[in-house]
Parts: sequence; structure tokens; C-alpha cells
Amino acid sequence: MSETARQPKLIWKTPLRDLLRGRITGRLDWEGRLKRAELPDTARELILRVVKRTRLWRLEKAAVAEELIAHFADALDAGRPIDSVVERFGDENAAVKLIRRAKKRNRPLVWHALRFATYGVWALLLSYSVVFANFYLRQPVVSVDYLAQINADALALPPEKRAWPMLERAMVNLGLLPLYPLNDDATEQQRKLAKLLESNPGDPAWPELMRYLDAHDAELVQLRAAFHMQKLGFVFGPGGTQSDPVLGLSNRPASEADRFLVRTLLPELDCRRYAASVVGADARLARQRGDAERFVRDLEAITAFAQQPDSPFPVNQLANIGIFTLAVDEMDAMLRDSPSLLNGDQLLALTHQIARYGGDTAGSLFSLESDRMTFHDLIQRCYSDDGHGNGELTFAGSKLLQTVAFASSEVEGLAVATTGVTTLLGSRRDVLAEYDRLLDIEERALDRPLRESAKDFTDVTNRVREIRGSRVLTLKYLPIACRFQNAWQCAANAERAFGRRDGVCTGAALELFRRRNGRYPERLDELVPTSLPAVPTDRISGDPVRYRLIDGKPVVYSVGCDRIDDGGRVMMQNGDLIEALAAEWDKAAARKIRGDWILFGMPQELTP
Amino acid sequence: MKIESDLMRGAGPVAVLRLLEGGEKYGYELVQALEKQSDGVLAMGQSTLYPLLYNLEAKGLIASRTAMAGNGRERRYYWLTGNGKKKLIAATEQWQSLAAAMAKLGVLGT
Repeated sequence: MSETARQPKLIWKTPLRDLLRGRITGRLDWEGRLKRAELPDTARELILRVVKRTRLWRLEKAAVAEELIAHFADALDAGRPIDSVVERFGDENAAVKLIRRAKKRNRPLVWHALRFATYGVWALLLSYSVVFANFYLRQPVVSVDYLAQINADALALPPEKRAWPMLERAMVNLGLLPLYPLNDDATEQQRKLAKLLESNPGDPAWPELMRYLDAHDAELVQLRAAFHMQKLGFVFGPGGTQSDPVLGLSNRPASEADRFLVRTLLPELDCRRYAASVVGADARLARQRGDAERFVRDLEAITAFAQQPDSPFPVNQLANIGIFTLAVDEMDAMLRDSPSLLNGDQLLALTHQIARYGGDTAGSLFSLESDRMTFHDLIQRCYSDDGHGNGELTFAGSKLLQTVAFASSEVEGLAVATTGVTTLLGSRRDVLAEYDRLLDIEERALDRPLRESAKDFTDVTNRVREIRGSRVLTLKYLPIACRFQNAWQCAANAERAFGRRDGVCTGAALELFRRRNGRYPERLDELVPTSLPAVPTDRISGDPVRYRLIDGKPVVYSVGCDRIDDGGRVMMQNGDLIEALAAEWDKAAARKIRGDWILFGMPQELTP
Repeated sequence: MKIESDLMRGAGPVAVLRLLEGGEKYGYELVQALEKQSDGVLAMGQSTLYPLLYNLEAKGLIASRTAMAGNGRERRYYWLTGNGKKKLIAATEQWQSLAAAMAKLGVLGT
């Protein structure tokens, strides 16, 4: 074939770099050159086999072929017999393998980098697939029945010692049960009844409330008796008290998922609130009618009810504080509006009972143990268990977290994202260790007055905020980001209740002093020790509470969150004077709320 | 005498570096020189020599160029680089120490 005819073929067999230089070298046509080489067939075939099998780039093959052709030709030129040269070539398979390996080592750095990057990507994909499959396939193991632990006390109680059955009967007759009726009319009826229970003498609805209470005297007797019993005895969860048809929950089939503490129904909570409201309304009626004995009976019953163990859930403890505050409010109103209602003995006995409520710190009312149990229950339903207290988040668990998260939508969104970033998730041990650490801080803080422990609560809040604010930490501690609830409000509510308790007890002591001396004292010191063991401490400042007579009436107060004595006056908010507006412990509140926190007596407006 | 492949793997590259110290050489020339100068002990076929040369080149110990020989045939010539020279000095010292040690043990004749 002439050189001109071969030209088009040569273009295809010329490396690009040669073409760019304007040269048509045909260097890649190593097979053609092998054919044209003056070599015996044995040598030619050997070279062809070896070079082809190396599976190198075309230019690399051409270079190897060129070198081998030259080598064979040199050997033949030197007079070596072809059989000897072929024999000396060595192992053909080894040659293919070694030449390929060595030539690849000579490739450019970029090629090596790309090769390793490709291996890296594959390795990453492979390992991620394993992690991903593991995430989907592993299952949570529910090994601890926390609900049984919550119910242990109630179940140990003989039925006759449980307050709930008596309370329930009274509430049915009062029309306040079932709480979850099947028809909307009944719900509306209950709503009206709840509103009616808030009426005060002089309100348009007061006569109706009077008739209602008079018609249910027997139920009131039952309620007071139930309030004084030692324990409520409500059994939570499927198969427990909630299955009672009277509660109106029986249409909802109990399922094993109801044993999940996060989803535990607390139907007794509203029932208790309504029951306390009924007796509170009766106390108002007794005061209006001048029936001191009945008033004392009602308030003693409410105060006892506020201390009756129900469940360890903080929400129940908060409800108990609400019930106690109801008694304190009625006592306060009586001392202000009907100070002569009770005789000295009655007033003293009632005051002593109110003074016995709680202790000096929120820890006397609250335990976070049920919070801990609830979180640990959540973890066992979300994480796998390796049998040594550790495990990983499961796909089912991440879905469950989405349904129970009460943090921001961002956190919920991240819960969805867990399917894609499983490697960033913290282990079961990591999450529990961090949660327990935070809860331990709060538990210790609850055992100190809030004015001293506020920083600890703030530290915990800041840490949870940090977890929620960082994508990495959110994923590491996902259940904490989704579910952690600060106990600050529990502590603040307890402090408010203690402040009111101390205020009302001081108010009662002032009334007893007035009866004995015909005047109010100049200073609270005069009440000690005859009527008070000591002047109560201001729950915000730590100093003794303040006292003054405004328009001849006693006012006992705390200096409030701004810690400035405004003379027992409060800020107006939305046209109302709110006694406890300044009952705040965080610094942010102090910047915008002025005035005092009224513990006893009529609040007066703070004038600018 | 046939040398065990493990020994050859250590000696082969040093022998090639040593031969290239004298100036650039092409493949067949190296095979001839190895056979002749080692009395056939270090003789190696193409299946061993060329991968060895490519490996030394990948490590930067030798370099190569293609040039037209007198007979009109293209040949690839190899020569020692600066790194190759350093490597050869280090390897030579190691082989000398090894030989001395083997001699003391009576493995090599004194």
C-alpha cells in the first residue's frame, strides 16, 4: 500500500498531541508496525499476545510494542536463534501483569488522583450503603415497662383507699364527666359549666351557680372526702383506669403503643381541676352566706387535694399548684372582703394547713424523675440496643421522633433528614449521657431557690439552644433537640405558689394582730413570734418581704423582678392590675416589667 | 545458576542502576551487559527487564528517550537520574554491608 493511501488511516492512529503539532506519525498503529517488522512469526505472535493482553492505553501499548520489537530485532541481529530469544523472554503471563502494573505507575499524577478519588467514591458509597441498610434494618428494643413503674404506687393501693372512684362518681353526678363525650352538645354543656364555676358573687351567672351548688350538696360531700384521701389511685395506660366507660375513652381501642409514656393520656388531669373548681366555687358561696365552717371545710379539702399524690408527671404537679393557688386565692379574698368570717381558731387552723404546703424550694413539689423515665422510654423506642446500654437510631425511631417532636419545625425537618446523614447521629449512650447531665443540673437547681439557681437553668437552656442551633449537634442529640423541656417554668410556678402561700399566711397573721390590737402592726417584725415564726423571705430578692398599709389596708409584697421597691404597686397590663406580673426571675423580664409582686392585699396601680 | 526471584527482586534494580551509571543504554544492551558482566547469574528476560525499567522510571530513578539507532531502528534509551544516582550509592552501601556480614558468617568466601 502506498504512503498516500495509508494517510487517512494514519491520522486515526496518530496521537492528538502529534496532530496538534502538525505531524501525522501513526504512532498508535503498533500492530501495523509489528506486521511490517522483520521478525519471525513466533516472535511477532508473542509480542502481539503480550501487548494486547496488557490492556494499556494505545500509546502505552505502542511504546511497549516498539521496545519489544526492537529487542527481538537486536537479538536476531546479534545472531541469536529465534527459539532461544523467545525462550529467554520469560513467563508470558507474568510479563503481561508486570508490564501493565509498571506502565500504570508511569501514568500522570492527575490520572492517579482521579483513580484514587474514584476508589474513594466507591468506598464511600459502599460504606454508606452498609450504614444506610443498617439504619433501615435495625429495630428498637422495648425492654423496660416504664408505665408499670409509674403505675406501681396506684396498683399497690387497695381499691377502697383510692380517691378516684369516689371522685369519679361525684363528677358524673355533677355533669362534669365524661370528659371526652361523643357528641358536641355535651362538650358545649361542659364548657358552659366550667365557665359557670368561675362566677363570683355579683356576676350575672352567680345565682345559677348557687342553684347548681345547692343541688349538688351530696356530691360536694363526696368531693371533699375524696380530696382528703391519701392517694388518687389512677392507673394510667391501656387496661388502666382510662378504660372506665365513664371517662368516655372506651370508644378508643387501647393499644400497646399507649404504653409509650410520651403518649400517656392524663384524663384525670382536667377532672381534678374541675373538681377543685367546684369546691372553690362552694367556698365562695360559703363566704357569701357567712358559713365559716363550710368555708374552712372547702379550703382544707382543696389544700389537701393539692398535695394528694397523683402521678409523677410535672404537668400533674403544675395542676396541683393551680389547685393550691385556688385555695390561696379564696383565702386572700376572704381576708380582704370578709375578714371577720372565721373565728381565731378557724383562721389559725386554716393558716397552718396552708403554711404546710410544699417547702422552700420547687424540689419539694417537683420531681423530674418521670421526665427522665419518659425520655428513656422514648430512647428505647427509637434506638437499637446492643445489650450494653448502647445502640443506634433506627429508621422507625426517626419516624417516631417526628411525631412527638415539640421543638421547632427546623428540628422536625432535620428528623426527616436523618435518613440521609445517619453517620452524624449520636449513639444511644451519647444522647442519654447528655440528657441525664442536663436533667441532673435541673434537678439540683430545683432544690435551691430560683433566685440562686436561675443561672443553672439558663445554662441548660443555652445548651439546648446550642444543640438546636447547630445542625451537627442537632443530629448528634436529635431526641434532645426534639423533646427537651426546660424545668424553669416548674420552678417559677412553685416559687409563685410559695410567694402567695407566704403572703396569705402573713395576711392571716396581720388579721389576727388587728383583732388583738385593734390596729395593724407598723412592721412585720411585730408578728414574730406570736403569729409568725419569722418574716417570710422575698422569693426574688432574698430579703424579708415588704409590708405597708395603703388606704388603711395591709399589702404584703415582693420587690418583683426589677428588685425596686415601688411601695406595693403594680404595672397595669391590658387595663388590668396583675398582682403577679412582676413574679419573674429572668433578667429579660426585669428589663421590661416594673412594679412589685403583690403577695397579699389589694394591688394599686404604679404611676409613672 | 538460577537466582531465587526474591533475591533477584532486590538485586535486579541495583544491577540495572549500576549498568546505567556508565551511560545510557537500551533494553537489549542491558540484557547483554547483565548476562555478560554477571556471568549469566543476573541474566533476565524481557518479561523481567522491561517491567523493572518501567518501575524505576515511575520512581524517577531513571529516565528514557526514544532515538533512531544507526540501523534505522527506533530504540528507547535509559539513563540514570540524580535521584537514581543517590539511590545507587545508598543501595551499594547496603549491599556491601550485606556482603560483609554474609562473609563473616561464612556464607561468602573470604
